[in-house]
Amino acid sequence: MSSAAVVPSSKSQTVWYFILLALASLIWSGQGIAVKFLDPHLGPIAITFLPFYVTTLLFVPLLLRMRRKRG
Amino acid sequence: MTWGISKSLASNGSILNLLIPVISAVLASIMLKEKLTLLRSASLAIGLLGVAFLSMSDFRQASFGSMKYLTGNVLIFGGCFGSSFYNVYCKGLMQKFQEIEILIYSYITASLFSIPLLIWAEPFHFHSLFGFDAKAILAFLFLAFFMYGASMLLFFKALQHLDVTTASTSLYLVPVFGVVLAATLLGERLSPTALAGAAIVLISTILVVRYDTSY
Repeated sequence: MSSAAVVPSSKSQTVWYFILLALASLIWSGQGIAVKFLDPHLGPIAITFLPFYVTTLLFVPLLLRMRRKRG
Repeated sequence: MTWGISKSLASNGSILNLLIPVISAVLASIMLKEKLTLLRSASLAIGLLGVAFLSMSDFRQASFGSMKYLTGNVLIFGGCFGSSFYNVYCKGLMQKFQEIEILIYSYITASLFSIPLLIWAEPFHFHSLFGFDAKAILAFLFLAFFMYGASMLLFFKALQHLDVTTASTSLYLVPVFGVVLAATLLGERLSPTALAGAAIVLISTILVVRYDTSY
């Protein structure tokens, strides 16, 4: 598998992508608190997978729309 | 990873998680032929030092020598390796597919394969959901919409344009934001060591943003 980098054309674009990464990291850092709030109600595997299934169900219409656009 | 932590210590899990960017960098250099330059290696090392400062309490409570936690530690490491492999492999797939497609197809696959695991390891009853208080509902929605949804879309968008090694250094910002959130939302005190750790992690991030041109 060869490198698949799409090269950012400017330093400001690189900074922009790092801002996206920082936002993602900020969201991920909240996982511990969310898990603490769910812990009294669900087991660890259910906490991991049940929200994941909801996200998957939300994404499916998006995928179908993309495939319909492509034809 | 969750399974491993249940058989080990949360501290062990937190420390082993710090290896994800390092494992990602190594796998990316093998699978994607990404350059592991001196700058990137230094940034990873400095970031690792920073999160080590942030994780001092975890190091004090950790136990890697005990056979009792060996199975759990191996499972956690397997989870870390899987996470790294996922990022690197998806980067390779971006030659042929859009990042959103890769994300959704991987989620559909993981969902289908995980259902038997959930049923076997932790039989679930729907009535548990009706016992949710407001905090639990918000936490569930946060995980569904932001944790697994928005954050992964942001990460994959950036990953399409940056090398995995470079993008992985941003993972060290997670414990930085973690301690800031703990201080602001849970009222936990920020120790001088944690502040020093956060500053070191930020330095490693700035290094790679400012000076990395090895795409």
